[in-house]
Amino acid sequence: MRLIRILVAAAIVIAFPILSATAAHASLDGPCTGTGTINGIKYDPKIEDSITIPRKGDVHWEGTVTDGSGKRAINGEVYVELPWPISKVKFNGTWGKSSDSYENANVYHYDLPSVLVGPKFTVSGDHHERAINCFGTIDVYLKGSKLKNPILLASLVFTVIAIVNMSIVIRARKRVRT
Amino acid sequence: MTETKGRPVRGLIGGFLLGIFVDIDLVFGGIVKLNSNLLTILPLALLVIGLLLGIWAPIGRSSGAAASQPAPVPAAAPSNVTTVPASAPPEPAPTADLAPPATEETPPI
Repeated sequence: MRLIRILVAAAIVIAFPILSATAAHASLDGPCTGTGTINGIKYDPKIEDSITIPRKGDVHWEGTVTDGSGKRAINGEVYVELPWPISKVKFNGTWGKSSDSYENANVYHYDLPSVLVGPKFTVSGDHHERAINCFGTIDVYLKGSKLKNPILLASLVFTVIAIVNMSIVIRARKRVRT
Repeated sequence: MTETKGRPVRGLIGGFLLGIFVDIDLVFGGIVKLNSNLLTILPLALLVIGLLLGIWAPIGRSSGAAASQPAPVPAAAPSNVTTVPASAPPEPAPTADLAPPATEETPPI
């Protein structure tokens, strides 16, 4: 039992820095700006680390490149970051043509299911052209009660069952030999 | 004779599933970010831990080992003491005095 206590203590010591290392941090690097406005509230990754947005709505986005002039080849994308091996899920916000414009704006409508309330999504975007590389990221929550999420509730029940199973695993089974 | 044995396969599968469900709890509870590498590491780590715990099975192993030991052997008697078996085989009783042998005049029952 002493060894089990040591293992549990070690797990806590290891898990704490891993969990605390995932603190929110938004950024926008490079000579670019990018903002989104939902229901009159403006979100800027240079100002806010994490934002909470409605589950559905219209985002009025705008982006600018503050350096450069003339027509040039550009490319970029907007995506949600996921852990290995999936890595990322791209939205329909991708571009890869030549352009002489240095700013753009539009409206993007979104409607997400209620089961996505609770997770902390890391939404990222990047833009590349000639010598310019911009990269921005922000953490996004969806408004709503996570305790009403059926996936979380079901998972909590299955976690308890899995823990009970592990309590059986650590018990040796007796077998009578003749 | 009793011997104790672990549950390595159950520990392996159970550890992996525990990791998956804890992952879902952490993500949907908003505790870790969706792109955290912890979500990849945790199921694999718990898979290994479950396998090792299943092989080791620390609880109940000591009592099982005690049960599997043979019963203690009594101390040997001194050489000058004659031991008599507690349950000696009974000598055959003389049956001649008790019941006469059956003759041919005896009617069959």
